[in-house]
Amino acid sequence: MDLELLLDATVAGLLLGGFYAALSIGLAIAFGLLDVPHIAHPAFALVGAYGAITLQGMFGLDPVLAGVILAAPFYLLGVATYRFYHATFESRGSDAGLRGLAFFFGVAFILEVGLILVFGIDQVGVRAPYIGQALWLGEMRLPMRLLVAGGCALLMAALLILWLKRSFTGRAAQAVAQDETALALVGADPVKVKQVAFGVATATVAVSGALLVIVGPVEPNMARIYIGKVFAIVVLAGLGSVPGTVFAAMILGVSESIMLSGPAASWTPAVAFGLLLAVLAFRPQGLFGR
Amino acid sequence: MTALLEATNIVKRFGGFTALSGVSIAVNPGERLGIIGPNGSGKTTLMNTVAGRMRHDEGNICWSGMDVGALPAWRRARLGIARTFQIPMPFAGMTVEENLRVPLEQHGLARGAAAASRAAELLDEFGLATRARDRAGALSQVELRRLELARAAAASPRLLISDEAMAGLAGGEIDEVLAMLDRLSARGIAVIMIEHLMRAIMRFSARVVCLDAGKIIAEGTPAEVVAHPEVRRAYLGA
Amino acid sequence: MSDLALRPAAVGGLSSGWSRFWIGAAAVVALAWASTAFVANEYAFFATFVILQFVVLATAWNILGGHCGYVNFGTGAFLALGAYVAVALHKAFDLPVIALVFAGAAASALLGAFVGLLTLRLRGIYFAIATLAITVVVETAVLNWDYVGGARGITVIRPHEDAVFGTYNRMLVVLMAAMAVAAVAAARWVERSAFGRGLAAIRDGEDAAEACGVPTLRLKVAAATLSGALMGAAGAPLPLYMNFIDPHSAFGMNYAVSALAMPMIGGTSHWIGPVIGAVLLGGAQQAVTVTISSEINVLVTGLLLVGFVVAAPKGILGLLKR
Repeated sequence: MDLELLLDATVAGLLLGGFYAALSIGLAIAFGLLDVPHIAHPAFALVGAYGAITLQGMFGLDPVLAGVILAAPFYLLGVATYRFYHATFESRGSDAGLRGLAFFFGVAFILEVGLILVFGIDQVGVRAPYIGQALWLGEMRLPMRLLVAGGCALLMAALLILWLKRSFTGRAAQAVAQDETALALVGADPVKVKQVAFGVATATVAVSGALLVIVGPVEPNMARIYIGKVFAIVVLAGLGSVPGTVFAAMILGVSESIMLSGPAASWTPAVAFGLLLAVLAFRPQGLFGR
Repeated sequence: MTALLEATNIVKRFGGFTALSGVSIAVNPGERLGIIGPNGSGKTTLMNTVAGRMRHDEGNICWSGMDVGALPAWRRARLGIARTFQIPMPFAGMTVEENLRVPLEQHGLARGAAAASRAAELLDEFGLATRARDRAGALSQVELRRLELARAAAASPRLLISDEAMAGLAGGEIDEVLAMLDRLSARGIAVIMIEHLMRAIMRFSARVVCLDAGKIIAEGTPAEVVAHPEVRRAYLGA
Repeated sequence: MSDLALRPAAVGGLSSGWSRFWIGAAAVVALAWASTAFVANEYAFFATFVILQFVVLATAWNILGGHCGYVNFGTGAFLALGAYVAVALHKAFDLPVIALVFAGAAASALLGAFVGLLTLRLRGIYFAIATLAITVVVETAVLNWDYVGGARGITVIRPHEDAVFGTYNRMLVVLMAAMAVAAVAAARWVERSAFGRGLAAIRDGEDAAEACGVPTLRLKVAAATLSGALMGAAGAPLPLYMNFIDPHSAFGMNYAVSALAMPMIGGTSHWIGPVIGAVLLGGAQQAVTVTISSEINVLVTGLLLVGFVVAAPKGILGLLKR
């Protein structure tokens, strides 16, 4: 592959990675820190995407704005989901792991079918002034929509890192991953902390869903394609590391992009899986694991 | 006599935290070793590395002179190391009898009808005969402790690691467990007893090791260790 | 290492438990055979074929899932691989159906072993994610495999008549009945064997199982291989029955969700649970798809799954015991 093509692919991959990062940060918290087997994470994002579509349809809102507006109800959804999960599975018996996984799988499935019933199976998109535009950097074409998605993703990641490092709940969320008992001794209720953290993670999913539909039109069965990608990213990063997640997302984005412009392009969907397997086989704690 | 188990300079780290910083212990065949130390001193971690539940970071683990450090836990179990867990881990979905069949079958000691009768013997010995057909998940705390011991004994081990088998038990129950360990020891099984109950340690052990913050701070006969100033400091003060 | 034969004739075949089982099994196959002579409704055969296929899938799923505690989200991949291997061999050679079934089983057994070796030494969720990802990988491979039609799919040419059973389709129904019996026999054997107790020990406490001498990784991989083999076997007759296969239908999510939902609904603690789940849910699916729509069918499956997982964790078997 010649150098120019490689460079193009790398830049495109970085932009794609930015978007993947937005999608994965929530899971870095939900699964990485809180250990919830949230298979339905991409499905939630897809609901956010369709939410942005609906808000644009009803009020003509810009998708990013729609995503931010949706963050509040999604926060509540996250809190409710965690409370339910905790009451039904975490606090009960030994096969809770099996049932917890089955539960989220079922939820993901119900969401997918629900979206099909409400919106149909065809692709739906949004409109925005920056979709379809591009920035020219010399000979390279940088699609505006990817720049917007990447920019929002980095902003969201930065805010999240600040929250994790500066706020009490954020630090407590990191602590609860290490040692629940110690946290209880300090006077914080581990369940409440996890609740809030899961709520925050779900709020980011609302925004990333909006970014999803900015990047391209969506259809209900997309969630399945993204599960492998987001888990690959979160595992590669090392559970719970938000900066690591951004970095890992870039790696996946660039890998896929290079694969896509090469001779074996039709194998691109397998890249995420290959990456996941490689990480699990050789360095299961990830790059920045705790 | 070659030591049955010899762990030398074991180091174990969890991220930035060093749980064991160069611990060495040895157990001879049939010996009774007691391990004491405050909570968090590394007693269970040491046993976990010895039994293979965790990989040690540095050091050697030798079994009858053979280096077993690279072997997975199940291979070490099949070589003759049995253990109980601090918080009992029964196979809750199976009956009590089936719980005992697992080690019998996996160690190749008995199958089919022979396994059933051997399991019945063990159930009798450990006072669980009436619960044979009950789901292990339904047992009381005391019964779970007995099941842990019975399951470890079923494997006909050469070394039994008893990890706080008496925690939370009342007076008579403690004596019961001690009697069970006595019987096993009388058969030539080496026993490592981790306990907080000093009277159990004093009565049972021939030798005692005291851990604190990942290091051995005292070693000797029970009387010597209990009187040791470092041990007193570890438990009572500073 | 434990015997993994699908027909465990060597395991105390004369003990009362097994002789009762084989009598019942023979009755099922005989019933299927007889029905080919007396039942005229073609749709009844189709529905029966589908339900029997689900009996195999649900039973296979439960060996690794309910019995060993490891969740497989990728039943579709195992089924489809078996189907496509059968199609490829059928196109290239003139082989009897049984050979195609064994080939499909072998391919998916290898897939199970592969995914298992890579991920079963880690926590359960990683195996589950890997099975989701493997579905994408296998589907991608098939889409690129022009010999079997790639994305467009391929028509499968096979005879319409059958000397013994009337039509070829009816022969496949009897074959599927035999496979269902084999799968259930395998599950029953697993339940009663030392191998199965090892799996259950892994589910209930993997560290304690290791401490009792259970070679956990080996047993898990063996279970994944067995489970995969049964799923691949169930997939092989599918393209023959339908005269057609394409990735969209072969890799449909309904298989993945149903294979998981049926044991969870029927009950995972005994081999009869997945059978109950397959018959009830499979039957309901046929009714709903025909009368309402296939999307609603899938929605109902998902709702039932979540409902049972939350409210009736022991499934129908658990409800019956109360």
